[in-house]
Amino acid sequence: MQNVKTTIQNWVKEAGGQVCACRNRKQGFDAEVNALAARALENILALPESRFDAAGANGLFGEKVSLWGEVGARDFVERKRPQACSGLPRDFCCDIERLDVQQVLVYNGCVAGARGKNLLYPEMAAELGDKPCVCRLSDLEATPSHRIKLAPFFEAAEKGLRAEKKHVSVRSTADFAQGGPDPAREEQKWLNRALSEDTLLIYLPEGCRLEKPLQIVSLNHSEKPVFVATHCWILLEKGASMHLVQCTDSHPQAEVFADGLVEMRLADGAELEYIRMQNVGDRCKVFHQLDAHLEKASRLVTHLMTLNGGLTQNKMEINLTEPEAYADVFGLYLQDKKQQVNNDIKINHIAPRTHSRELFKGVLDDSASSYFKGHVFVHPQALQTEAYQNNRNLLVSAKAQANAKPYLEIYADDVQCNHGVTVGQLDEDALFYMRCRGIPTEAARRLLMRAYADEILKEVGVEALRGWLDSLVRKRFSGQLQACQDCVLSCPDGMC
Amino acid sequence: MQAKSVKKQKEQDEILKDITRNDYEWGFETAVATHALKKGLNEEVVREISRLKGEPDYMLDFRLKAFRQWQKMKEPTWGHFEHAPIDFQDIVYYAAPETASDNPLDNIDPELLETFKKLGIELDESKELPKVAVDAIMDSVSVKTMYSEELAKQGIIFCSISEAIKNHPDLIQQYLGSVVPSGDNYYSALNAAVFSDGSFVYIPKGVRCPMELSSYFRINAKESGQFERTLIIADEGAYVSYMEGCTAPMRDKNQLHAAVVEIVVLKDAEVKYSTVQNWYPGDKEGRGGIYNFVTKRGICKGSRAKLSWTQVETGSAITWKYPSIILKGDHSTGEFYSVAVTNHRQQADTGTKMIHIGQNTSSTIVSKGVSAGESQNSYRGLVKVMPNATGARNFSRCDSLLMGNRCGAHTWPDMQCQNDSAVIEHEATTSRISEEKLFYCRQRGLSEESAVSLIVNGYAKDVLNQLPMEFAAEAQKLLSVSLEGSVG
Repeated sequence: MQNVKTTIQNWVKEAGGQVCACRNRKQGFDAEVNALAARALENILALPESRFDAAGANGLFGEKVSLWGEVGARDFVERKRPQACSGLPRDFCCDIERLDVQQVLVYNGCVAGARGKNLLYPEMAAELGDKPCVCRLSDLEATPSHRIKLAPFFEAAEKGLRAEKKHVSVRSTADFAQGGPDPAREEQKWLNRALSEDTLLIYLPEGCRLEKPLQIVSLNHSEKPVFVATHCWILLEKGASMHLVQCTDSHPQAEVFADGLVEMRLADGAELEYIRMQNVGDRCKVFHQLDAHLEKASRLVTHLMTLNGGLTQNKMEINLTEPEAYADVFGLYLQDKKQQVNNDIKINHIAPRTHSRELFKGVLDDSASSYFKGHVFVHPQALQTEAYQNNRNLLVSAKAQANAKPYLEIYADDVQCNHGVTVGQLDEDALFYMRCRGIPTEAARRLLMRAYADEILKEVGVEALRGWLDSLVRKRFSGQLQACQDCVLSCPDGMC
Repeated sequence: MQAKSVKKQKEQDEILKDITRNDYEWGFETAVATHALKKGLNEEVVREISRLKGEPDYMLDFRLKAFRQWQKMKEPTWGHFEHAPIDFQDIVYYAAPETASDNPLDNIDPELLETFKKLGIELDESKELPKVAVDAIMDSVSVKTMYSEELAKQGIIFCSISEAIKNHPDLIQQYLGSVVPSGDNYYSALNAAVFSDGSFVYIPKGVRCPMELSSYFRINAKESGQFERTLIIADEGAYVSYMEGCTAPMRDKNQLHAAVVEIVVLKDAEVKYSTVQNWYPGDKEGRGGIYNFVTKRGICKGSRAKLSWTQVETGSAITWKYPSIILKGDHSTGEFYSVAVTNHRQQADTGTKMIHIGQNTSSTIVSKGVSAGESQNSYRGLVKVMPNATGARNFSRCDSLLMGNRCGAHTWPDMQCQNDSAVIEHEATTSRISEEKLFYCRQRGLSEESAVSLIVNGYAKDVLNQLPMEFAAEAQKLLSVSLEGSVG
């Protein structure tokens, strides 16, 4: 009988035994990458049989069946790998209105653009030198300097593949307090490591401040159910800074299972604003993981905007490894129909004087459900840590559900940590006030919901981006926003 | 700066030395003849316990069923604490002081009376100062239940559960295991199989219990575990306030305490359950102490029923306890107030579950954790709102206070809301004692130690205020004793 395991095995067989189907150049870092992929595949196939079974307590993605639900094996086994890079549209555009951005297109996991070139400056070769560079990992020469720069990524991946889940019945306090990579989370990266087509590499040299925001458009499109894996490495050297927008889009009717992994390293004083837009069809599933490593006084601000999507899972692990590192994590999810969203954020405070702030807000309509799991870990050495965690849910229909698990795990005393969760409804008094002034109920409700979402939107650093997100949210509330409205529908005919 | 911190370190060491001298006050042992079964657990032991207690057949069936369930179950491992594996065959499951238990006071071994006197419990009804009816339980049997006759005049049944099994089989059959089914968890199954004694309370319709009821648990015998079972039933419109206290001698070996408490609150009734848990917590190095694996659960069955748990946790090496409330009746109310203090190597994983089923139910959770030394203190709680629980309301607040850099304070809450009219609020903070407050107290001539004690007592006030008067003073004293030597 076909199960998840045999499906994965078949995919590999179809790709001629090659784990990464798209990688056919035998140079650069391919040897390392292929070795990692092979190892990851081996690890997956060595997992206990029960993990591949939809009826098992835990699915392959580590979630209980309630969330795994229809994502279970039945759905997974029907999926195919998309034809590698063949359907790449030639003249695709996806403009953020009135906003000057640089764009990179990723289509079904394949990076579009000239081979061997720096995608930011098409006249230049792909190189991690003194210019910002966006390229495929497979286009990069394996020179010693490149090797040194990318070594931490390879090491982390290697370590993650070695990480073993402990199945001891009795744990010790030392096990609890060590922090560091969580074996359960590492396990979920394996599938991506084994199957991603290529790695998109974003590199900023020391002191480089990229003025124009960079937009990565991950377009997923297929009429048949497919599985797409994308992988991205972001490396910001000392004092570099940029705004990055990553859109995950699809056609409203597409049936794509998109598995994405972003790993980022911010060196001393680097700053990154990372906005992730998720706006895919109801039949799409998005499983995203983000793994960040922050060094001294670096700063990461992320916004997770989940506007549409049948099932969306955002897993995030942020390691504040050196003093004064700072992370802000904002999230907004607007869900209706039978959509499900799961935000699972782990923040590890490893060094003193680190700071983190989480704020997740959601509006749940129809039978939508949300799961929020925040986990703040404070290492014994992380004194003077500040960590704030907040999750607010607005339930606007009888069948909507909200679930929250805000965890604090603290092993240091000189800290300021708090968390809060609320589940509630729109303020009746405010509604009444507006109705008294002649605003129809529906409009008043939308107004209140927009005001509610505004707390997240106002944190976006680039004004033009903020305006764009605001207009999307407005359309979403008024029911005009279909999946991928702004991207796909404005693109040339025949593409969507 | 360096010199100052060294000096401070020295001061701390001094204080720590003091505390090691200041031993667990209740750690004495009573020399009383005990009848105990052999170590180990098997079907025969379960049958033997039932036979020794002269139980009717239905109880033996209940026990055997639970035992078979237990055999198939595995120890839960999700708790945030560490301990060496427990050998369930290395425990004595039944130990009783050798006195005829159902005779008047004169027949009780004077040693036993002395023991309870030392613990501050006067079993002699003639010396009635504050009128509190006590059910004193030593190891596996109830030694004496006070004021039973006086209470019986109002139809209140207050006796040991063994007596209730014999005298009130209808109530027992109806309610025993109805809130905590035997198969609920590993330790509740174990308890259902081997429980030896405990308290039974029934308050009839419309009766307000005139005095505080109380049970006092004492582990005395060596290598025995204590498995008591408490069942409280408040019939329509009744009210009772119930208190529970516990201590144990100091021993190097860990002892197991796996109790089950079930509370049934019917329409318009109210039950207040207060616990001051003061089991032997083990010594400074973490040797010995009680493993306290307890299942406590109440159900608000009828409309407007009210149940309130208040607990002050200062004892036991490991606490694994989640007093929960099922809010089934419409407009029913559940409350949970807790102060958990851990010091040295103590580990506490405690919290509550509030399950909202009825309409317009409300629950309040206030949990205050204080961890010092090398202890680990966790709050773990569930708030669940079922789809039909329209108008459910929950407020949770759980704060943690950390003293010193080797302890841990953790919060593991879980909120599941399936109804759109529910309002759930949860807040938690973690920090250490504010320097400013300490400085303020020190300026006014308080020693650092008493300043900390004052601040902690203020911090725990919300919870201590909920305790009956008789308990509040004791609890406050306990808090300061538990924290002695933890200033830093």
